[in-house]
Amino acid sequence: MRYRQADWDEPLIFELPLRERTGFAPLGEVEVQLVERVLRELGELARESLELPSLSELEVVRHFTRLSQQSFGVDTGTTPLGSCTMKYNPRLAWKMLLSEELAELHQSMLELESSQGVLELLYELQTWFSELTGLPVCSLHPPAGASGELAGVLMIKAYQRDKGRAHKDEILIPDSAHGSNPASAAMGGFRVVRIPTGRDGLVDLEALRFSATERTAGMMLTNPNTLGLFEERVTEICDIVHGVGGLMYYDGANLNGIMGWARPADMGFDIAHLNVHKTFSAPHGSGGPGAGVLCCTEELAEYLPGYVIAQVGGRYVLRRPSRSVGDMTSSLFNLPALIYAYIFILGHGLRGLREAAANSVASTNYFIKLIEGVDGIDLPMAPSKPRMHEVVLSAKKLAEETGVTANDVAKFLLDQGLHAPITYFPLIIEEALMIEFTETEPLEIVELYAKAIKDAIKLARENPAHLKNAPSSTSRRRLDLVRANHPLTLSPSYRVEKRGVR
Amino acid sequence: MSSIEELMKAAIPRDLLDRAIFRSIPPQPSPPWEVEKRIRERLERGPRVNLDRIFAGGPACPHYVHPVTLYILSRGEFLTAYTPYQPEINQGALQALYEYQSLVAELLGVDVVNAGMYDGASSLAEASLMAVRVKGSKAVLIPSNLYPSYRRVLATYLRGPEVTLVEYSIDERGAPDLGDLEDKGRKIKPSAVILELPTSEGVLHDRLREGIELAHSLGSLAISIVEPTLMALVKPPGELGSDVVVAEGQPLGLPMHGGGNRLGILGIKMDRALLRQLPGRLVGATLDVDGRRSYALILQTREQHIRREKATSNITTNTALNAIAAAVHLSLLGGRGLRYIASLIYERSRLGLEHLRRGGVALKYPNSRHYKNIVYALPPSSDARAIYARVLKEGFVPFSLFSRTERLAQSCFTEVHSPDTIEQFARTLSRAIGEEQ
Repeated sequence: MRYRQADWDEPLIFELPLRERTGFAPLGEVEVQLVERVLRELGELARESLELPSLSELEVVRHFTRLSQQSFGVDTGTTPLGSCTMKYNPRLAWKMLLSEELAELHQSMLELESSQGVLELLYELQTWFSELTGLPVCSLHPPAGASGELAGVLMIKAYQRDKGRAHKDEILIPDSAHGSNPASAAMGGFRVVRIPTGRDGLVDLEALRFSATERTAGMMLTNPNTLGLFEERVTEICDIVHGVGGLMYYDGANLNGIMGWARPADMGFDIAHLNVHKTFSAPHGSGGPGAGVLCCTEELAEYLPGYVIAQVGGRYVLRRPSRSVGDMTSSLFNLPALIYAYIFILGHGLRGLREAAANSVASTNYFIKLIEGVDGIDLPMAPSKPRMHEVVLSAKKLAEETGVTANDVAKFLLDQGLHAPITYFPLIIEEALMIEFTETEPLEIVELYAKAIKDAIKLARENPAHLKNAPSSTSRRRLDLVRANHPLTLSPSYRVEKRGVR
Repeated sequence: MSSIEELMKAAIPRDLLDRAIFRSIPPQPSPPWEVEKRIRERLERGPRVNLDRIFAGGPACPHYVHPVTLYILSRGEFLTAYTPYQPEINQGALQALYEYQSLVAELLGVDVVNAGMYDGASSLAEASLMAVRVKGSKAVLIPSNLYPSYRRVLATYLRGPEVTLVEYSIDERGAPDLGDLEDKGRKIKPSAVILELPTSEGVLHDRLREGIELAHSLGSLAISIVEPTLMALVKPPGELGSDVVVAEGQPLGLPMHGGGNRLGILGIKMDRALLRQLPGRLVGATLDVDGRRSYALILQTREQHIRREKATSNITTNTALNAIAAAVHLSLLGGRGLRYIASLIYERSRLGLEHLRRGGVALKYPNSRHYKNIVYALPPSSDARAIYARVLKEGFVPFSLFSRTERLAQSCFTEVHSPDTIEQFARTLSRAIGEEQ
């Protein structure tokens, strides 16, 4: 496919010509006098100058429009990053979020329970999330998945202490887990015990039995796992951990492939977080904001973070769980992301949610069929088993034979107007390419992607330099990442660049 | 569908498949007009109050959000993109984030600002954890009047490493009591001393510089919490030597959205130890193979996807889009525009204080200079919710509860409030308080 990204020599905003103006408020004599008077009053405290760019409204619009043209999102083209669930973000939500009722809603209106309609909407969502996880109580409070993980880990800690089991200081985490899992466990004050993955791509039960001890406080697990495989022995895993008094935490990053078909609670999990910006269609915003939801069993409900919305005598009220681990943010709920989820669930209905999950699985397996047998790329771990929402390929053979790495393949894909997969993750797969199309990508795109990967492999054998030099259709070619990270050339801000303070 | 069903049946063990009976999720999809109608019905049930009649305070307050900011954020290339791990195809988002970092560094007087945390409170919590890692002492000294919500978030984050929070007191004018700060500091040797300007209660005091110097004399890091617009008018903490500066970024162009998602600002001075311990993503400038200026995520070995349990934080999804919003907002205003908006907030706060005082409202610090937020006590016997509801009926959103137990309420005054509306609000509020007494 032909692709050429916009390529502006757009200067840094500090380098645009300064025009003594503002694109926001007209500044006449009266306004200038006010500023001078306030500065005089501030005396010693007053700041002498503030060197920020001064541009017109048009210049600002043009600058950021040009920057946006040098970026790439789901709206631009397929972005099949594994475990990121980059699905379409319904525009209806954007429209609703611009309404004054939402944009200009002050937090106190929810805290003091005046906005009953919004609370009702959130209550409905709570109920739906509860139904989808099978866990009876949910808190919509965590501002992101990882924040939900930290809250969940702290719930485990508080629960174990209350049971008089403060000696339980270990959390078990498979080596295929998302990096946020061990990071959250460590932040919660736990020692992380790594559980190896067996040759079948699933948790090694022998190793788990060995590691599950009196010190085990809990285990964090995602299912389907990051290899896209359903952990078939999940019930047994939960039994082993429960058997030593541990709790099971479900990382919901990969829920998309089983949504409406199988539920964390039925598998034996006690706590689960959901990523609203993955499974439930809120946009990723070039990195965030997202939203997390944390659900749990009745037994753990009083440990949930933030607030739970309850219905009392026909009114919706905010209830703070009595043994709550605390707040994760000074906001209550990430309302914008939750509006996306509300629209997504209503727009699909249960039938549509199940279809979405099944279609995401079908896309993955169709893709596997298309690249099957291609020389150089393997499907490691249980190659004959169907994958769920995502698949991890290995370009190890290709790298060995041609020197062309997973990273080179990724850069080649960018040149076709296709976003690269996640590369080099999970860490247990060498030269990993982790791919997740989601249900919203048409099958033609899946075919196009498979063809592009085949083209890359063919080129790797014929003309590896082409891949080594990719990309060239993007606004920049490969970057000097050594320079970017070296202490002597590190430039984390214009101020540091300009003054050379390093 | 049937072959797809087969696929699901092949992948998911029989005893886990279709165990649920769904009762509340509607079984069938709804068309968009019905979804929209359903949401509108819920939104319209609440009282609708214009922005300039919202006076409820806190870290997030009513501010004008320029349509240009909303327009830029609606661009799918920013809105629907993933974290820019592929820099060649995401230069735009990376440059915008670099501009955010650079603009805010300039504003706060620091050298490095990361690409965004969840909100001001989580920035404070992560900054405190960073200080504990750098300094090693498991104690942090905080002002006794810190926003209760900030304190709760801080306490949550400090549960893991089991760090103790100790309070220093605030004097009768709402400024930090430096004597008490010093006494407590000598006793506990904290990793960080938390300072604020303005304070959570809105007091604009002149003790930040001394507070920072005191923190350093105790061998602690100084972490300053600021209101970002005020930094256009006063010497920013970075210039006064503060090691870390944190702020809530909502005043820089974000709609309130009921609390919504926000923007945690976190900045540090250029210091190797701090930089190594910095949580979150960071964008840096570099060159591409053609020698053209380019941007990429840097120092990623601090982060969870590489360092796992040894990462400086678990943060993954952050608030990049809101950071881009702040960059657009600051670019639109420019230095002069921001100084004007901040001067308006300063003036409106003074006017607010005056009218509340005239109305007999029990101001906590009637004679102190305030910026944006003002705290007052509701009568001990009164019902805060009843007062709130009464004023709401008159078309104003009056306050946030600063402290439920002490019945302290907080209102804010910003550029969106005209002098007439402020006067009318103060009158309405004092009448409602009187009637509820």
